[in-house]
Amino acid sequence: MSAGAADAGNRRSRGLRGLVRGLPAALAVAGLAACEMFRPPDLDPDVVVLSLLVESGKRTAGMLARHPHRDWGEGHPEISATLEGPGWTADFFGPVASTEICGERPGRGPRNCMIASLPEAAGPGRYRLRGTALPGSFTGEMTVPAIPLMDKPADTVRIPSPDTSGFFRIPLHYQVDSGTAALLVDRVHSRLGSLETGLWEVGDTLRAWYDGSPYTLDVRVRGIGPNYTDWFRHTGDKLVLPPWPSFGIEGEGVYGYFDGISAPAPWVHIVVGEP
Amino acid sequence: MCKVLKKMLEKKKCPILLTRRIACGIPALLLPTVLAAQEPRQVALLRGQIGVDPEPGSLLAAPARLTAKRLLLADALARLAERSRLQIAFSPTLLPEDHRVDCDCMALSTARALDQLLAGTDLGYVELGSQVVVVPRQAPDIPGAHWEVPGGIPAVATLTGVVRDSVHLEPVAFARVAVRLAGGDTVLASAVSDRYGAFVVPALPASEPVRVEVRTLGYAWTRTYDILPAQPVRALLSPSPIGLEALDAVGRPGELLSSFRDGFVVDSALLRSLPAMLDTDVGRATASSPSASAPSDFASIPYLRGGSSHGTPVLLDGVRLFNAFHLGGFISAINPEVVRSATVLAGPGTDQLAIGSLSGAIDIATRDGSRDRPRAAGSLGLASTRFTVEGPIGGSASYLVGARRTHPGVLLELVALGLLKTGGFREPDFIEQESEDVRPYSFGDLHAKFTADLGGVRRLSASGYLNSESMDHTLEHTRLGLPTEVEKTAATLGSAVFSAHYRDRLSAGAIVDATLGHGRFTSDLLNTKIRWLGAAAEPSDTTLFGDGSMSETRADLRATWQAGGVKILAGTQATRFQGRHVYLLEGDRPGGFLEGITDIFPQLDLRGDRWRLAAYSSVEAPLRNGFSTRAGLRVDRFQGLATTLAPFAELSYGASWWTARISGSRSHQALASLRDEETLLASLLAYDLLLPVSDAPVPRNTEFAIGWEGTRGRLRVRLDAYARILNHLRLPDPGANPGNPGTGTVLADPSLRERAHGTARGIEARWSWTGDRGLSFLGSYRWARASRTVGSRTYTPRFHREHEFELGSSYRHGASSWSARISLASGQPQTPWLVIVRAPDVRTDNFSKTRFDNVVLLAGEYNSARLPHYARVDLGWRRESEVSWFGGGSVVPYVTVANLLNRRNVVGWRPAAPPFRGCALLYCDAPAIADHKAYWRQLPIAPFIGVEFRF
Repeated sequence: MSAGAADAGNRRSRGLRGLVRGLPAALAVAGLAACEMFRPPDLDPDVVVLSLLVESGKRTAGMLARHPHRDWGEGHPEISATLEGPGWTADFFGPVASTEICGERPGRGPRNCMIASLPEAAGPGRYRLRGTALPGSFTGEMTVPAIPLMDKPADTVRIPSPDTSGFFRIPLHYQVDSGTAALLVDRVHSRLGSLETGLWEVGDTLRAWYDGSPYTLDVRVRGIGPNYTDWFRHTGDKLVLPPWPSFGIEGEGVYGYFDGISAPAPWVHIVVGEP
Repeated sequence: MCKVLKKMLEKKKCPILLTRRIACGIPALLLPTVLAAQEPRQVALLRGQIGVDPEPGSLLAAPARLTAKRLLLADALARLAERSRLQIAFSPTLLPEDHRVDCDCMALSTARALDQLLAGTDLGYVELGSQVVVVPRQAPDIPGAHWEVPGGIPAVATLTGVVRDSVHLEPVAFARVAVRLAGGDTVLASAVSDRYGAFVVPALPASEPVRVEVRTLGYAWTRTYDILPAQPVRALLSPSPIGLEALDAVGRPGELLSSFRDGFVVDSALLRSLPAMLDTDVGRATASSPSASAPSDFASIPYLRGGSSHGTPVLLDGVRLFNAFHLGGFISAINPEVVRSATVLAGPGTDQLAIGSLSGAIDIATRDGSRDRPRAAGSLGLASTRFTVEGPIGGSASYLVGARRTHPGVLLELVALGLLKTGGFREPDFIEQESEDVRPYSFGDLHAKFTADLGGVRRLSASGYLNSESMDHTLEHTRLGLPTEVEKTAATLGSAVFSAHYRDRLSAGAIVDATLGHGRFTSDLLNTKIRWLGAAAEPSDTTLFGDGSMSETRADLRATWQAGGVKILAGTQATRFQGRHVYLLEGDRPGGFLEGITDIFPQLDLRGDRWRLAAYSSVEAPLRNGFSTRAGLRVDRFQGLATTLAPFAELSYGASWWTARISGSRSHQALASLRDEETLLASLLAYDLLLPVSDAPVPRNTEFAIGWEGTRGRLRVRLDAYARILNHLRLPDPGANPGNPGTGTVLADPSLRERAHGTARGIEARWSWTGDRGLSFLGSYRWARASRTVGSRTYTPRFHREHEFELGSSYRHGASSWSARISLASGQPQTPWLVIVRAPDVRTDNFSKTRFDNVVLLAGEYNSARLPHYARVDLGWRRESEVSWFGGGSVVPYVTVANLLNRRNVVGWRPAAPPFRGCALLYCDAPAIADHKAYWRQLPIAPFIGVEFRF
């Protein structure tokens, strides 16, 4: 075989090997091309979302209004709204600079935080919301629940060391009124030292974690109404089919939640891991 | 002359059929034609005799000079003609097949030699002019109703036969056999050959010259018989004109997609004329039928007329093949090399009556092995290699063995990426270090068939099929401060089918078929985790254990009887279905490529076992003035559930160039699917698990259809319209799980689902046009609506498309052929996304001490909107080259580009946060908000290459 022929054979061989090596790459490119394409949905930009929780014991109510389908620079929502309590009304005004009272840090999206100064501290009872937004008028209705009454543990409870590490359940007994759909649980872990708040469906145990080292868990609960609880239950990345829950607000093009939350019950101290 | 013909054969100048035996018989075979042409009436009236005492000097008194030992009668007669130097005329089709004779007739007269040769047959001989003609001694005594053909001629005879390929002797199905009076145009009677090539044409005149025309894909075959043969005839179809008996055999381009009343037929020619996707694919080819529609580009097996996979069994040689695909559905599991034809049975019909399914069937028939010589064929493709060998066993039997196997490693990336794309197989994101050992995904299938031709229509065949696909994965997690965890995941799926079929002829017009079969599907999934503490391993923790199987065993006995224009079918059937689906999920979620398996099925432990006994019968009878009718009834006994009646009726009309029909039928099946077609994953993963329904009533289909079909010149058009009602389905309510419409697991317990019903109606049009310069077109259009009603919710199923248009074309020039397939369709249903209710969550987390946003995604009515329309163009090229390797053959390289224009067709979407959205340099919006649509794409532009060979 001549050198030229050998070179040609080698080139063919290299070409074949290259082709074989290239096949997975070609297939990979084809697979990558099939990856998800992300596109914003084509949604009505004028839709307004309101979020308003009236907390018992507070004399101020904060309402966050948002255009969820608009980009940042496309105009803030303009809302006029009135909160009706037991024998009084209070108008919302704003926007206010600090949005913390509305439940959110500043700096995100076209929205306004509006507040209403109440003539008296909010308490358990029936409340109504009326107002107008860009898409039209809206109304809302909810009940602020009473403070849950913890029967057990009443003050401090000691949980013996679980046999093995892992999750365990702390039994609880409490009383709530009919306006309570879920409990909002504040808890402070002594080793972590931070406050953590979570929504807790009404139940009879509290789930905790034990990793072999003793700690203290401070727990307090607040009652929260069905409108927010329904909203929370439907959060996520799945579509909600009609008929939609009202979440406390009715109105063409106006969505969101309007609900009440009770003042917190006293702290309960749970000592985990002591003999 | 014999030597001349033999030389022609050697130089390939002779038509393929002219084997040595036949070529040497041509001097004798040509003679009757001369007679027939000159004196047809005289020949028709001839009756032979035996024991003739020849007058001295007559032809019959001439010395025979013949010695024959175990010669076929035709060969013996040819030799007698040669040795006696007489012209002896006979028609081979009148001779009994495989009839061998002995004759020590060296010193005998031709008459005595013929006495010996024709002993034991119905034939005699007569001297006519300068020839001796071998003809029947008397009119065939064939049972049948008294009937009359035009002209008042009594029609008492039945013509039976088998249509075969002239080279391989393989049966040719769906060939149309028409019998006319010789010299006339009126069709006396007609029939269509069945899947084994057999046909029965009843109500024919016994003693009139007739012309038998056999037409099928590509070619026509015509013979004239002076007297109708009593024995089964054999129509050998050849791609070139043949001169046997000097009859009119003219080749012509045929249809691309054959059709008969009850469905559409895709044969091997069409199969290869479509652009290949990874490999030539019989499942994708069936989607050429307007009744069939693929739920996505990733599914090779289509759905029929608004039904779904569980109602449409894929039958391989008459036995159910479960999950007839590989790669999650992308490629059919049947080696295309062994396929003779695939029939889409979409609407009412007698074949449907015999199957008894909810939504038609895809009936795949495999080839018999070649009977002329050993042959080999195969292909080397991008993903797999297939190889088929076949050949004769003795003189009347054949074998066929085909196998296919993926190339090691090539598919890994494709599969991994494809599965990751589904979202059901997510990459773990919490691992600090990991190393993977993945044994590639692989699939393989094996098919073997033995066929014995027992003479005439009698035959025996047995075939076995086996496939498997598997993927193994080992993932090692190493986390800081924690034990190393080794996770092993393995998945193996497999199907097997065995079938045996025996056919016999009970009488002149009666054929009996007996079939035994067993189909089985198994799935094994395992995920284990082993934690290593230093050098010691903790006991392994099995997080997923899956062990599933389903099988169907069936026995069919069917008799078909034709007499006096009436065709009667009667059959009985016993079927046993067994299903066991056990999937246990324990402890942590499994990882590896099965991490998202919980999106596919929940924990399941389902078992079912049920017999189904059936008897069915149908009658097909001509009426007056071109009308004819079919009617049938099927009685099913579903063990422990119910006894059901399934009637079928049809009225049809045939004119000179068009036919029309109207029909109605009902069918039942007691199988329910674990599959939820409304999940997005269902569009990408076609696996279906079946289980007998646990209680009555059984699912039911009621269907009405009308159809019209006509042929003008090279154009053939077929129109169908149908309306269906599906009752007693077991379907999940898409809205039953608040916040999760259509997002449940792909598989779930059907007994927990609601009773539902569905409807479908549509209009289908199909046309084909074949030119004489290698160009042909096949087109179809379908408009349809489909719905499902679960509780109070009525919706369009997610796989349904309202409009579908397909145009396929092929052009052959020299050795190259080009094919294109254009698909246009309206978008599949989607649920409109109306509002993102984005608001603060009251929860706080440990890290940011703040509340974060959360969303509720409000949607419109379920599946009330449409995705963007679908368009795809596939282009294929093949070039056939003759090679001299291994004694001669052909090599065919092919290239296909799927989705040539790289159109971004989508199969669905789900709400998702866009990649990296919300995470800026100093701020991370956690959790990410699902405020974008993540569209799931269908097939992007994808090239496929390969080479086929045939020796």
